[in-house]
Amino acid sequence: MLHKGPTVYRRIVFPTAALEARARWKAVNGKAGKTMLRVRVYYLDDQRVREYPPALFRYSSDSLNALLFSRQAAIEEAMREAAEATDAYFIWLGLALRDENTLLFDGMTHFFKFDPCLPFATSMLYGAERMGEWALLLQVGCTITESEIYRHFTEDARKRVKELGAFLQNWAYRPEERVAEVFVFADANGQFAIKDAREVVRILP
Amino acid sequence: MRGPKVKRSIKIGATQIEIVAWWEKRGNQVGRTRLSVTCDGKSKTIAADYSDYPAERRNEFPGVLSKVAFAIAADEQARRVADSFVRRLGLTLQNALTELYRDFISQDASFYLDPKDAITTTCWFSNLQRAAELAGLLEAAREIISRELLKMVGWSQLLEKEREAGRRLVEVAAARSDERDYLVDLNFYLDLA
Repeated sequence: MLHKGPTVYRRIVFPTAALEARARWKAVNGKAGKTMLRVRVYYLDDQRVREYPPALFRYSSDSLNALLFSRQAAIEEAMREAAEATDAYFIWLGLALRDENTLLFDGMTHFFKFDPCLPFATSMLYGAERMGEWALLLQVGCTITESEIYRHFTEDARKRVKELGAFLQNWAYRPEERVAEVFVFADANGQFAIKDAREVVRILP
Repeated sequence: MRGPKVKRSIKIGATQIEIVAWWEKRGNQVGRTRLSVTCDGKSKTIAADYSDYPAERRNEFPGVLSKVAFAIAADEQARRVADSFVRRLGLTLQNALTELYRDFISQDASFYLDPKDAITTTCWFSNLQRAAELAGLLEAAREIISRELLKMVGWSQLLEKEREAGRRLVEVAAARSDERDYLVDLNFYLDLA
């Protein structure tokens, strides 16, 4: 029996704060499973962390079905499910940063089924509740991204926000570019730069 | 600054759902209409709508008239919010999905769910959160009504009675929207008294 999958995280590191989305698949009653997404903001200046209420990504029993083959397959399935949740968060954050609200709304309503084509009003209200949970987390993401960029890259801040949005939105079209950490920093000339964790050489103290 | 409270009660079986709404304004914040729903002794309050209309009306008139104008406008806002909750609850019970969806998404629904209507993304996200809170309240109230109906009429007549209760609530919300307080006794309307 697999109770929980591994936690998968994606992070955007800004000069003085970091936005982290972490997701984990968890078995429910041994018959199904659900993936929850949590968002944390690390304030690097004053060593403070804030975590927001979790949001449900979706119910899925794929990991339990994979247990029929092997435990390793089930763990991989759980990890894939969690990675999908974090990727969805960052792709939607990218859309929100670029003000692509209609695309974002279509994506969210497709996922959370907030439309009149459902069998019951309860399902529609349930969809609306889930959308609200995600809206809070996306709002947190937008706020921290915008405040960090406006704080550190005052010139053309709006353009920089859109640039980061486009970078994240690209994850939808180029899955091979998805990475665990994205760094937003000032390069040697003090200019705005985005790099993914693969390109960054970290010198440990 | 706070306007008068309006109250709608829905009686079903042995339980009662209380819906209370009022307009208020704190400091420099924009005025808001609060909606409080009490089911099974548990109460939850949300900000259902944002508007400065009563405060503006107050400033339009001199002396005693300003108080009257304020009270009328605040009462109107509160009644509108409370009645739209009763109406939406009726639509939920009737399973009238298209109308309920239209009620949520339309421009006069007090929040802008359609991204084309919202001014900024942040504003749109706030609207989504408020809609989610309202959906939670509607779902909680619907659950109570369904549970009580199930106890009284059983599975065989549940859907039929739910629809009837829903129709009744929609009718009442439209017909008695000018009253400050009213009670809808669903036991009486559904011949269950």
